[in-house]
Amino acid sequence: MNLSTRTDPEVFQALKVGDISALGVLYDRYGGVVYRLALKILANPQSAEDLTQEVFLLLWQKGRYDPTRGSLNSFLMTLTRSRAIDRIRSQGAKQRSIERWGQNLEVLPTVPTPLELASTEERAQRVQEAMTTLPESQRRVLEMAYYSGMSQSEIAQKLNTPLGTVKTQARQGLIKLKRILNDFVG
Amino acid sequence: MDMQPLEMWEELVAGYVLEDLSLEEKKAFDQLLQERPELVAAEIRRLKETLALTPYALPEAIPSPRLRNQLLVAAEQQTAQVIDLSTLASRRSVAWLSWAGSAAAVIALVLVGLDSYRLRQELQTTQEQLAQQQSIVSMLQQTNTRLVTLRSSTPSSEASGNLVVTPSDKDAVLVLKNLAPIPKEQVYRLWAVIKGKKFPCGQFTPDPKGTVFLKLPMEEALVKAPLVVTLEPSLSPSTSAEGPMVMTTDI
Repeated sequence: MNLSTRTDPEVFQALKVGDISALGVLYDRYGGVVYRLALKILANPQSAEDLTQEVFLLLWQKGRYDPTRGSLNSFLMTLTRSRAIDRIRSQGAKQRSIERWGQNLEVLPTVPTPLELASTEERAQRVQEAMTTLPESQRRVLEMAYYSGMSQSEIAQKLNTPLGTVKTQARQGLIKLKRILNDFVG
Repeated sequence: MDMQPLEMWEELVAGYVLEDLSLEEKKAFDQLLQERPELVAAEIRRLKETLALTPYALPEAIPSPRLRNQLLVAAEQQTAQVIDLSTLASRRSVAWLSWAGSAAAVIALVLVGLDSYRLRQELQTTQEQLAQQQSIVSMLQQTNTRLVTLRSSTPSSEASGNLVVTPSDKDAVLVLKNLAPIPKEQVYRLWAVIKGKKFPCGQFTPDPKGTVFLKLPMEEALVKAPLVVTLEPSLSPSTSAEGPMVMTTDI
């Protein structure tokens, strides 16, 4: 049974019943981008590899990912980001519940979106194009918030910009991205 | 309270997803949520998915190639049970391995990944066996233990397995699972395909769970050559490979 041509939900089903080749397929699909994100936040290849393995082992522990709550991509990115940020903040600083990002509320069950059917290369291309259409200020604030885990007040301070402006920029940036990628995200 | 203008509530939900709502905004958001729960939930999902796409714009970076295998071994370790051989009934034609045997045998047992739910009821796992399992797996990760994967040749079959070879051992270990049961008139045979010819490596019958353990004398050919499992009549000569192909290696 060749899982590599199946959709994420189908492959995940196989993983749930203990098919380890399904884990391999999902690693082939998402390992690169999970690693990329981990590396961006942790800035250390070995730590990024450790985290990548940790994330996929968490996926392997069935019951963690609930397909009705969102795409597999979203689950993996959120998990990777929260673990990575927890690690960089683990030196004494108060832990923020980063994992709450976007996971508080029950979300609607989804049908496979164009996003889920697209390859990693296609996604990269679409997203890179979308990013270039954002005003520089919006993109910068959004990226700072996402990759560093800094609060908006910390960002405002760092950029020497009023908090209100920073908040608007981040929100508008996200909304604009959503609109551009609308057909993709579904 | 009236429904806010579209732009305003869109920003409010974005603020929620970005976790930057002020106290006043939180109140407004809660109100919005109460009035239009499905609308808000759908918008949150869209924003969440959008946010989860941003890492695709990062410059490409590739982890080291060994990470994949390391991950799979670690995952198998989490699900596999160490098997107490004395509790398993012996079957005809199946070669059992002594526990004190090769490291490859232990690794193979770790990798067999049988249905752990069933096994948990039947088997006992001692602390010592678990500790041994840990060290074996770390050895697997560090040495150049070779792992060759076998897959079923027919779409309807779930049969799969591994050939495990550690350089220090004189034996290689073949572990297969989910092999279809066969009548006593038939037997499975393993072949190494070298220069188009099939060389016999052993024959076996699966246990009631469809599992096979086979210890094979260590040969270079076993590691390098493609392997094939066929189904043959039991009474045919051991060099006879007339039957259909059941499993092959990935090579």
